[in-house]
Amino acid sequence: MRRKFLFSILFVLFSMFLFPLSVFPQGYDVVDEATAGNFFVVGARALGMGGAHIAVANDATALVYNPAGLARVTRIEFSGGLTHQRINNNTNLGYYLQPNISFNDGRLQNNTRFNSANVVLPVPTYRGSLVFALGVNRVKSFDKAMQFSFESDGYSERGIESELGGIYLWSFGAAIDVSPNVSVGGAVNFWDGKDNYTWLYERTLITYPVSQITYDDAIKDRYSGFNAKLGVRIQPNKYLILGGTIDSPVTYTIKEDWIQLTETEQERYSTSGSSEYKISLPFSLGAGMALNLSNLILAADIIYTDWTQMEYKRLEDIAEANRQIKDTYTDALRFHLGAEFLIPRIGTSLRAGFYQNPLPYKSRWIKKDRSFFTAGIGFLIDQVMTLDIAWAHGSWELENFTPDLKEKYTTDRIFISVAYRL
Amino acid sequence: MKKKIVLLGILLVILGIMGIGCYTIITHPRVEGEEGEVVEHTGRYYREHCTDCHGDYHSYPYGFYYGYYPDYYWSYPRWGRYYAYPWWWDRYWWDDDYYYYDDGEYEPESAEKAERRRGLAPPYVRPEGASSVPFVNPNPAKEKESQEIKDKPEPIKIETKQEQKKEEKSKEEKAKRRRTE
Repeated sequence: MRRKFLFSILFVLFSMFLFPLSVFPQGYDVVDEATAGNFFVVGARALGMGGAHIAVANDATALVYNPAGLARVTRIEFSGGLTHQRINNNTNLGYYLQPNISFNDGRLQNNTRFNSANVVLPVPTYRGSLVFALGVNRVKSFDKAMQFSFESDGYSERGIESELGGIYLWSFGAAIDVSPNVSVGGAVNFWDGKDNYTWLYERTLITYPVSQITYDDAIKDRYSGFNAKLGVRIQPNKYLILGGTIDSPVTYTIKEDWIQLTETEQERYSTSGSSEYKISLPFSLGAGMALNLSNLILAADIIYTDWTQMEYKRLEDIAEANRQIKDTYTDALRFHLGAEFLIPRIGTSLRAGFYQNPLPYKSRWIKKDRSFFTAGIGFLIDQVMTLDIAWAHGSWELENFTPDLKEKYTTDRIFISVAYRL
Repeated sequence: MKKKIVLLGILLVILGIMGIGCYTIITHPRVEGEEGEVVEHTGRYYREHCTDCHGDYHSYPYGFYYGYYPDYYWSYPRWGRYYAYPWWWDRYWWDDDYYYYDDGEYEPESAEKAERRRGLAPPYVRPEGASSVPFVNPNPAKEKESQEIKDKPEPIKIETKQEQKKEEKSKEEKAKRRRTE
């Protein structure tokens, strides 16, 4: 979150060299999603169904989507998964930049990550269901890259942004049947993650006298926090499943180390520092519905979060930072749609889905909101094991007014999950 | 830290409240007749004391309904086995003789698992002579046959005095074991 201030300063310096300030009436217009939103789907079955899992989840991933779904697990389960993400950035000139500027752009970043590891333990019951679960799941990804470089009027400019990391959710959950068709569940979550951010900016004066200045920044954030999630799952009849969830606010403690290296022909120096601050995220409410039509399951979820309620708790310039949150962020309604078609005879499921995971800031920065198309396949092997594979293709476009750039991101994600039930 | 403890406390209280008098039960309630340590394991006893709760025991083990499951769980048992069949009702899936209809006395290989299962044995006995109907029908070809069996009236065995003595002794032992587990 804080990096946007540093980043903004760099961009202001950058823009002062190249363009008259009057071209950028908006001033500091670089925003960063960071801890807000940014949900990275957990589990290949869920991704195949577009992440629509609040009503559907009946395996270990219920810890993340709806703890009440754990009550539907009747066997001891061990599960885990991996993800591979290929994210491509394509940065172009915006409206205000002069057409005589030559521009090169684009950066690709691949990351293979551990996605989940969970254990589910159903307690033997005479009636109903009582299930406990423990697990760690990667719920947020910070992995991304951006690059631009261009020449104009005797200057050449180059900027490379790279970000690696994510947040893992360590969860302990439980679910219980409170009537034949109603289950409730809860999970206590410990959030733990890191974010390694680097920003390289070079400006070279090509004409005489030749000069160059380079800024090379690195910011390392370590996140930790606690929250709880409650869920309910209702199956009023054979065909319909309803689900609801509440995520309590989470307050992240963020320990930050930063270093900025500045280099010119004459000198090379660095400044560095460390700080610790807190930011709290608001309540998040979710609802889901699934239609179970023989071999076909249709599912839909919505999750609402008002990101303007984010609040810095401990920061030097806390008042200004909190004002910026109100000015920059907005509320967001994430929605997921998915379908699963089962071919019972060969133990195979085919899945498809769509979801929109809106960027949490105001629309003036967003040209096209973040959405994904997904597909997947699942196999039930020898009555004791499932293997799920899913693919998602997503894209979104941003507009930065300082400098006047348009960033286009496309991403392909492949998830593989395996579960074994004793 | 204080906040975290409060959060955890709230969660535990909610779960605790839900657990008290909840639909889900993990130990069998004592029933009339058990008080004096003498349980008459007769058809009459079960009709009087058990079928109020276990009325559906022909359809479901323990006589409780365990949710809506798609038809293919029965037709293609791998789904039912994976998603529906609780581990504590386990038969050994790799042992076809046990996984399919077992008319004979079941001799499990694992004493530990057998003990666990025995501890959760439903408080009624399957009528003598009637075939067991597994919760998940692993063989669709036998579906019709099993349905016919389910539809048959429950046979009542007329026991001789000698048989009664012998059986009562073994059943008393079983009942004692259940109560102590």
